[in-house]
Amino acid sequence: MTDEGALAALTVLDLSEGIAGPYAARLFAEQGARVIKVERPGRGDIARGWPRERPGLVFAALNAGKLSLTLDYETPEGAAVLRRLAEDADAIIEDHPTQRRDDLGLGDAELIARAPRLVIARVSGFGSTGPNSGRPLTTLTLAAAAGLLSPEQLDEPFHRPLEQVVGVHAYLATLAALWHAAQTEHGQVVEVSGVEALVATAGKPLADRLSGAARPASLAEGFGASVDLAALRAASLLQQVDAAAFGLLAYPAAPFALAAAPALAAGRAPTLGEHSERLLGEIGLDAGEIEALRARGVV
Amino acid sequence: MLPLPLGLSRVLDLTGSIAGATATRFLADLGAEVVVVEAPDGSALRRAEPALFDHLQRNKLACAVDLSQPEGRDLLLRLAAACDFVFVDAEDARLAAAGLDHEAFAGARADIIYVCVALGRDRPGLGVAAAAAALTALFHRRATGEGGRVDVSFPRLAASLQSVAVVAASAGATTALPDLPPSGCYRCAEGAVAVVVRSDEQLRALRGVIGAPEAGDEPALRNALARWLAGREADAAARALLDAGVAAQALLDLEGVVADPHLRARGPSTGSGRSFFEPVAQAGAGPSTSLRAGVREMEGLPYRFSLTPAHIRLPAPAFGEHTAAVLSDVLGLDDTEIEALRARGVVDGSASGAQ
Repeated sequence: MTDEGALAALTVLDLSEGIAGPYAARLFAEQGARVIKVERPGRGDIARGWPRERPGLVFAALNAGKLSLTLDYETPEGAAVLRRLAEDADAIIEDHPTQRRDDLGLGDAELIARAPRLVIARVSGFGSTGPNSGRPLTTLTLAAAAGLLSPEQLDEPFHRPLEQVVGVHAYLATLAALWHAAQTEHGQVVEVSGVEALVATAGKPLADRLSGAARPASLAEGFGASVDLAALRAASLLQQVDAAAFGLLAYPAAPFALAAAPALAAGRAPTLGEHSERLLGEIGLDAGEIEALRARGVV
Repeated sequence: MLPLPLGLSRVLDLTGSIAGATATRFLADLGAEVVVVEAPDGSALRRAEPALFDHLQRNKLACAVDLSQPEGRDLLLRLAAACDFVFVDAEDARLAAAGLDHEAFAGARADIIYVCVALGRDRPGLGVAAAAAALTALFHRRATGEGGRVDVSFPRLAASLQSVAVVAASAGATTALPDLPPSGCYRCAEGAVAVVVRSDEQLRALRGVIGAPEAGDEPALRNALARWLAGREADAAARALLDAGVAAQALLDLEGVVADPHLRARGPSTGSGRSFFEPVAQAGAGPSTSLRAGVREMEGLPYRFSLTPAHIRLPAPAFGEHTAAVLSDVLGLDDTEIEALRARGVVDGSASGAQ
């Protein structure tokens, strides 16, 4: 038994924003990994503005238990900080790889050369190659591309949490690469395509079609849309978290239960740059250097 | 050098469910050696869903063992002793009757990781979570030396997947969707398209593309978008919106997905250029299947590894195809011993002789 979580030995840099990547990184945090969320100075993760009616609730749900560092790593000074952080990290989870500029020493090869066991996990809607690469990752457009929407039901609301499903895949793929790195000392890049992830779990209709056994019409499958807080509470699947700005929030339990290493209790989500000073101090910057970075808007 | 991420792991798969088979399919695709143990009359999945069986059991080995015989039970526990993971369906009557519970497997191998798939066994998505849970437990074992029990069930997974909605509901918010109006699905002159707007910048871009620059209320904007799309073909309309930075996608049906030029042209950034759909030479899913042998396509692993590219290595096994190989390679039994087990009906069985 441990109360540290199964992944307590791991450090993950979460460079992603929105839903899929942050959910994958949140799964790491739930299992005890140290997750450092690197956000752009000023605005931060786009999910800090979601939903429009109550900005920040989406961020709060997906980033609980992480540390937040603001960093503009498209500047040489910021890039140097990210390089240093990557040296101490086991994995990077990202969804905007072009923000890591090769010319600033942040290319895949350079990062892995400095930290040979580093795993770089890249989450996207369609992957980095093929005619649709670069298209955004949103639930509705992924559902359309994966054959999950029926033209007969265009007006029905669509509630399946597909971006989170892609996040589970990203977690699995990253863990597999981390396991390989632990056995061999070799890190690598692993790419998760959202649309492929959804098609790969389509199950029977796709199998029947590809085998020529049948011609099913659709890949659509039902998914519980409404959230029943009372039922979740009755099943002991909720934990209360004091989230400061929002008061008490209820968080669901981790998606699976390890008897020997229970998931950590949810902490609250960090405010933007809440841990910048501490994290920069840990990599050896003194107060004067941190202040200088701040004055130039790098952190 | 280890050519696949999980190349040193072995999995004993006692499940007969879609979620269980999906979990071990992902582990098999990632390089684990997965040994599926079927009853002497074959697995229910093999009989009921031959096409799905082919898809889920690829890259795996199949053994047939009669667990109702003490010798079969003993053989299974000896196999378990050589495995890192054992996957079971909750409330499996066959296992319960043989007294094959977590304790029994932990007795065979103290640090075995026992993964129990409960509610939602017909859902492939639960299988992905079960595979993820199993690997999480593998890291725990690495740190502490201890295995343990892992439970996965769909209600628990669904609560986590819907954490945004759960957290928002607990704060009294009526919506947690990041999508802004006029996001939604719209009919086109040909086909239909999904459009998603999540920022003011994207909203301005959308207004520019459809020629509705004036700020109107939500219904007016939806109507303007609907009118613009109604005169266009879905794919062309989606491209125009994408070019302006707005998320859009023509709706594909199953045929559209299978023929999708994108999925067919997904040359990985590293490794060999291949389609997401890979050809597999399938010998036929077993005696009771209606499927004929031949080359068919299967969806690949949806992950691209730069150092350890994974492809479909083996078609789904015929009933009992690897019984002798596994008993010999894993347990070190010789041909005489295997033949004796077969003669006593401990391994293989009626399904191998059926039509």
